[in-house]
Amino acid sequence: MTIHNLDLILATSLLIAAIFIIAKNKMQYRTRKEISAAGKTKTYACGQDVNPRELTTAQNTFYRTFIKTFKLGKLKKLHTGLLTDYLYWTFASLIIILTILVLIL
Amino acid sequence: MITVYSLTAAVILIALGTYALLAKDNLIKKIIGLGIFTDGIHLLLISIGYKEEGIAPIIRDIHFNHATAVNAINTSALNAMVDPLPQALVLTSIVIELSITALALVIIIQIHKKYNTINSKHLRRLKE
Amino acid sequence: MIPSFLAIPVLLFAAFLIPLAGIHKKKLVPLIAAAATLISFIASLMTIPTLLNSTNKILTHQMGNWQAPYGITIAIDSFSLMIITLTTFIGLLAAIFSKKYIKHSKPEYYSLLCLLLAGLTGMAHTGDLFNLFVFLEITSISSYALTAFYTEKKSCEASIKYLIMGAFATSLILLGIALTYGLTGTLNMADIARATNNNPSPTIPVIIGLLLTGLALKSAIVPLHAWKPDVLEATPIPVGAIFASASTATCLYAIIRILYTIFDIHLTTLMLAAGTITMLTGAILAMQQDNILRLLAYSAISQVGYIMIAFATDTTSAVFHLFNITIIEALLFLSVGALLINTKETGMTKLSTMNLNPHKIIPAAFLIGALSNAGIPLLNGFSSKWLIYITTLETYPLITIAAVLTSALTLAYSIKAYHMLFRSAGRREGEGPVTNPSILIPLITLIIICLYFGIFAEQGELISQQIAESLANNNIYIQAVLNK
Repeated sequence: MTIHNLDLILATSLLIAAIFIIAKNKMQYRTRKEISAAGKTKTYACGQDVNPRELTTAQNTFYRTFIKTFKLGKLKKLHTGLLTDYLYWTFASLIIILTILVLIL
Repeated sequence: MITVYSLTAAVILIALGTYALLAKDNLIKKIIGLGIFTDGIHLLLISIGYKEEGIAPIIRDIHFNHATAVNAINTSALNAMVDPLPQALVLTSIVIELSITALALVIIIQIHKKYNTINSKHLRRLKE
Repeated sequence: MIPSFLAIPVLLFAAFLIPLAGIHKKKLVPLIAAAATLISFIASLMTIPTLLNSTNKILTHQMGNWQAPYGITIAIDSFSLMIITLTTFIGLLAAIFSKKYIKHSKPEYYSLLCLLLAGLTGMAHTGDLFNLFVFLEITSISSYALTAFYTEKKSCEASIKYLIMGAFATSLILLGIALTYGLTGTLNMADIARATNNNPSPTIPVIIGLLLTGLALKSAIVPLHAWKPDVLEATPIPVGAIFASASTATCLYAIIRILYTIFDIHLTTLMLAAGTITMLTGAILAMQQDNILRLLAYSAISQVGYIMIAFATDTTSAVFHLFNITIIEALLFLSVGALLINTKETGMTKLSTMNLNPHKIIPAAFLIGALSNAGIPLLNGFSSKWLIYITTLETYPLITIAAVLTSALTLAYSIKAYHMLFRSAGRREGEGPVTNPSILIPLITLIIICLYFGIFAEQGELISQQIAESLANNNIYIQAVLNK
């Protein structure tokens, strides 16, 4: 019940955090140096100059495979936005809770 | 006997209110259903405190003392009185229901201005 | 007299005073709200030593000196006090945050905010079932009005949906209270507990079912959660922070008070099932959201599931997680509010192309909140989630797997949100950071609490253990209320 095994995790995560901070500092240093050396001012994609602002990821590209494989989109489609549907959910869960409680108590 | 009638009426009102709330798409009708539902509960509460041929729960002509209030009243009068607490509860609940209805109607007016409808089927801007 | 009881009259008076002040001196309005919430927070802090010095760790007060079952009882134990302190604290931070967030310091906003907080603190104070209902209605009505505050299309829609569902739920609670009165002839919580202790009646399951459904809708447990994302998308964000954290915590408190103290029933299977479904559904839906506020709303729903399964297995971890989640959700909502202070856009795909350029603290606050929400070590979300894992692993290993899976999903969508809001390509150039103390102070305070209870987890666990002990035995509560 107590978190005595937390000490181990605490130490490990402190170590990981320290490594992360050092690595991040090094990386920043390196990229800054590279940029200044190459004089990079433009972003290229497919052989063309692009505005970096247009290089954004659309929301639905994240975890698309995961959601499609497990058919998780259906759950989202269930939330139709109709007030009557939501009220039916409330009523149905009231009936379910009442049935369960009458049976077990 | 009256208690049985009023309890039956309360149950019928609660059922009707739930039906209106679930089956009607018009927002105003939903609010009316909500009112019927709550009024059914109020009737239930009132009939819980009702007594056959009871008298009004008013205590007069006694020296009133907080600690010994119950002992000071003679018990036969106490037994004939109807229970005043449900009436106080219903009064509070009616005020609450009134304010909810008023707020709901204000919001429905706003919805009518913005969506040009009060049918809850057409309120589907927020979903998924 | 209980010091923290001062919070209710102070907040109600502030709610009355603010519209009056708004007529002539609009500048005073945020100050009055902040002062009222500060007074109530200090009052609830002052109650802690009073409670610890009392003999049985319960403070009671009978209004107008009427004896316990007849008068109105104010009774707080350590669990109520935790909820009161959290609510007033979050309220204080939200009031400070609103000073910059709400333009032109609208008096009606602050008035409703104070009313909302008064209702929430009242719910935690009262020892009377009907008063719980009245305070719940005060909370609800101010919530409906605050949801419709912007009077745009979506806020009106969210408000009417919340209003009809919420009013249905509170009517169910009223029906439950009516049946309770018919069964026991009393509404005092301790007296109901005494009356129903040794005589099982067939009405009791119906009463519990009605009260539970009503309060479950208010605390957004799946399948009664549908209002929450809509409402949180439409409200002003500081109020959204209160809805997601303090309101949920108080409604969960009411559920626990009714189940544990009044009826002394531990619905292990039902709570485990509801908790697991809530947890997984919330996380899966949060993954597919584009709107950042809906994402956070589903995230808050999924965290409520953890608290439910923790209450079914081990109360200590549940109380600790309830505390941590309240802090974390407030931090997440306020950091997003700080980011979106000058825009009404909330879609992440659009936000990632916009030029927001926030102050350094804001991404840090969001990242700490998100990682803590997902249960990363050294943050407070981990210390309570770890307790939940190890306690459920002994009895229900499948639930532990579901909990760990939900944590992974939480990490996935949190990182996505962080990347799209703060690390996308359009972030480089901007018009300078927003550094307003009224925005940074709440964020920094919440970050410090997150880190403190992450690093010194034992302290939080000790406090939660004491609260859990006080919840375990309802006889102390009954005696403290009835024998005074």
